Amino acid sequence: MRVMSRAMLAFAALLTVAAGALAAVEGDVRDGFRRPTVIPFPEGAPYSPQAAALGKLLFFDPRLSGAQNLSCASCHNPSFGWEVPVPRALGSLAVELQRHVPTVENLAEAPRLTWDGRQTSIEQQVLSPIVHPDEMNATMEQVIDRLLRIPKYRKAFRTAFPGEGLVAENVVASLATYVRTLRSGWSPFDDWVAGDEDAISAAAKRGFEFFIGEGGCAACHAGWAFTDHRFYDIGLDTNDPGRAGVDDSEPAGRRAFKTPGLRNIALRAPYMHNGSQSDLVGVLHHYRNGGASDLGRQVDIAPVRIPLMAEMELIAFLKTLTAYDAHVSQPSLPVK
Amino acid sequence: MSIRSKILQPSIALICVGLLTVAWISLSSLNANQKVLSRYDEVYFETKVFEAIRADLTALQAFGDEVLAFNQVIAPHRINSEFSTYVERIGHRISDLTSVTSEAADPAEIGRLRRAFSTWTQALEKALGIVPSQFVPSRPHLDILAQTVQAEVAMMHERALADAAAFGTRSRAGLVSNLTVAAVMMVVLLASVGGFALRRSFWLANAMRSLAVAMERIREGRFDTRPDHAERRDELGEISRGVMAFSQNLLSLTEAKERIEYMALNDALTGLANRTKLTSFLTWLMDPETDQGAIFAVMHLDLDRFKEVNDTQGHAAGDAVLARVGKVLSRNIRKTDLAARVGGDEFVLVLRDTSEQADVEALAERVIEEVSQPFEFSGESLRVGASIGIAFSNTAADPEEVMSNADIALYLAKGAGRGCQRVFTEQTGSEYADRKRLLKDLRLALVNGQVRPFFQPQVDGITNKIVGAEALVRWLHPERGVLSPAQFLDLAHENGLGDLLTEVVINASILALKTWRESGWDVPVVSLNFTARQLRNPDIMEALHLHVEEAGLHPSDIAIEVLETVLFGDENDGAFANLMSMQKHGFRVELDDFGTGHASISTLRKLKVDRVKVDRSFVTGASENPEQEQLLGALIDLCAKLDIECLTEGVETETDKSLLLSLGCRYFQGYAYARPMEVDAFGAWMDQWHETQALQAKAVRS
Repeated sequence: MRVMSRAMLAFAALLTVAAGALAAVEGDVRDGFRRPTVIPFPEGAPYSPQAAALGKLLFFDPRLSGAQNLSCASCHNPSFGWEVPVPRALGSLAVELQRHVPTVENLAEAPRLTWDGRQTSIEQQVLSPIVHPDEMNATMEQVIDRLLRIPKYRKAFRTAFPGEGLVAENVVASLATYVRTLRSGWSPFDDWVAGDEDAISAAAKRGFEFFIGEGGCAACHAGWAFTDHRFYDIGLDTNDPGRAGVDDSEPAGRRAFKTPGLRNIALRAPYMHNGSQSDLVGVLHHYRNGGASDLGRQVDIAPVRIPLMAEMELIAFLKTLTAYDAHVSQPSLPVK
Repeated sequence: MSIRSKILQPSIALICVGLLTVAWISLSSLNANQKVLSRYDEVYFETKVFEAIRADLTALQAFGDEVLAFNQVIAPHRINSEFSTYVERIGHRISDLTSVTSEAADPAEIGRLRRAFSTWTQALEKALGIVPSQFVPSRPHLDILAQTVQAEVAMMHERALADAAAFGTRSRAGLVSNLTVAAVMMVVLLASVGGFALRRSFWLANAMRSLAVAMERIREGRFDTRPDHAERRDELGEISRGVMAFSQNLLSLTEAKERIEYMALNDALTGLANRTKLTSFLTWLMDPETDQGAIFAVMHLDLDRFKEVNDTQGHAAGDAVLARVGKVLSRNIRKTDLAARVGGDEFVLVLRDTSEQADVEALAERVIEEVSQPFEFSGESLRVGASIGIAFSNTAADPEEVMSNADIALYLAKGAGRGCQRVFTEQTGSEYADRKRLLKDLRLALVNGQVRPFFQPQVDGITNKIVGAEALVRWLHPERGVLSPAQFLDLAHENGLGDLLTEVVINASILALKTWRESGWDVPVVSLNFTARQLRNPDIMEALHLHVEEAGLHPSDIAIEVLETVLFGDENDGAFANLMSMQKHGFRVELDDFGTGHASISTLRKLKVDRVKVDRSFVTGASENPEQEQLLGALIDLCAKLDIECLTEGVETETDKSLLLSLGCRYFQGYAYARPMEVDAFGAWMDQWHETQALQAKAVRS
């Protein structure tokens, strides 16, 4: 009796293990794309909701531009995945910017920021457009001066930064805090990763398989944010030096740019650093061809065989990365 | 056990079973319902708590969402206090959940809820800046945590509802199983109790049936019927015993009725039918509706000499005679015939399907023969005779007429003498009518003097003196002429005219005697004849005595003639005593028809008759017959030896006279002297006789 039950137990255990192993393979693959539960804040940049709220006010406030005509949100519109639907945005002085607006979400873990990675902290990043002449074209003194005239801002700064108040560092800190909190919204793909098999279509699943398999996409678009935060030359026909312009170690002639995350990618057309691809089909054609032809330089990608079906499945998959609710409410800005 | 309890017990049991079942069903229904209701109350409260928790959780989530929308800068203390308020309230709610519910308070669930809630709030604390952290939970993560808590609550709520529903289902199932058990038990109980009741009912019905059968048998007259259950100690037993008693009573009553009917229709002494039964039998036989049709004969039998037996030998002897006659009749008829006793010594036989006169006459002959056989009773020999009248049913229209015809035939038979039978015919009918007419005439004749004595002289053969005269009654019938006693004497006696006739004769004789004496004729004595019955009647003797004295005569002027047979009886016979008494008074007593009867010599001596009249049968032909002559001589000698006067009747010739004289008898009566004559003629005869005697005497002398 005992022997028999032991045998049965053993057999049952064997079955369980076998089934678990099967599920685990796919589970492990998915786990690589599981969203982190927390947003890491660096030492010295403590989080507070007050700072984040204050940062949001500032993010949407055009008074941070010199001509008071442009806010951060002007180019980082949440409806377009914190981008704008044009290849290149216009600055405060209506000057066309050099590159396509990159998204600002899911950047808390990013070690380098912007297409060429010239910024290494969000604080640096949030400050640079305010003061860049082509962009918001303001000075911090000018901004502080303006904000100090508004009692509610003063009060808000007091609340968010007790004992420190409205100073340039805190403007940067609050903006950085807010930007760190920006995470792409929960998407069908996240549900699927969490185990809801019906969350995405079979086509999307096959697209995902292609994405992480034959397509080799996941080699760079890795992790839950679909980026390795690294720089690659994907054979774009451009004169922009990219990473090479800021990093001396980068061989000259390379046109390397930071791997963009793919969350909400369907909202973020046009694509590439220069907005040269107006849709995802174009992007896939680019990768199928292994980049533009006759560039006369070595690029980081090779042509990928993407069958027509796989192309559709890939697009179906990519669309599952779009958040259910991409909407972000706009704060009412303090006027007095 | 009594029938009442036998009937009531199953009924009560059935009612009890029904009540118990109803009570059980009601109670278990109530109980189940109560449980479900109270559980639903709990569920209601739980639901309230769950809803409150969920509302609070939603509110907390909304609060978090509001803060984390980052649309306004909210002071930490405000966030803190509002957050704390929510967390505290929700904590209380969860505690409420443990206290309010028993079923839903699965500690594991509550723990899980608390853990989930704690995880969420801890994350929220970080997200809301209440607890400083380098790692701030992301909004989706917070949403997931919130959803997890909500899901836990929802799951608990669902489970509580499901538990309640399951409880309801369980309760209903319990109720159903209870009801099923109740129903099954009820069916079993009802079936057993009902079967029991049914068995009782069958038993009762059978008992009733057996009683009814017994009653039916009793009704049919089988009174020995003994109902079943008579030994029972219950009502059935009582009824059975009642039926038995009833049956016994009925039996007694029926027996009594039969006795009464028997007595009403039968003669107690002979066991034969009585007149009533006879009448109804005849009525039935002649009823045209019953259409018996066949001719039957009615035989009317009348005993002869019964009265004598009765008078002389007592009623016991008479009864014995009647009983014997009954037996004789019974054994001579068929079963379908009827024998009835219709009067003191009258019997009637009804012979069915009988039309042959010869057969009936033969039967009548046999009956007469058998009845007439003497038989022993108490050491004495009894002997009666019988006369029979026969009538056939086709001679009459109704029972009365048949009986009447048989009566007539009997009447005629008796008229013809004893031991006779007659069949009624038209002829006998007219004969009867004749006799009737004669009787009617006789009644008249007795009062208007048509019946009167004739007198026949008695003469001393030696002296030729008249020694007496015998009064012999004659009826001078205006149409039929002079009738002898043989033609009407029986008629008179049978019809109660005997005494009147005797009186007429006595008076006439006394008157005649006086007339003669007044006329100067010496007639020493007048002999009068009396029947034995008359002799036994002291009144008649008294009357005779009276008449004699009234007429101024002496008793010795009258001689009472007695038939030898009268003296056959013993001294106790009334006739004998009366005779002695009359003789003592001075009346002469003469023994008539001597030699034909049974008078013993001792009787002669005892009574000391004054004269013996030798019967004419001894005289007639004695002159030609030496033996008869010797016998006659012996009789005459006997009288002489006993010193009794001897007179001979029937002396018709001189030869007779000479012979008798030679034999020593000197007194004669007969045609040799004179026929019986009327008073006047007798007087004339005496004149002539005396004249003749005087002439002869003269001639002798001359």
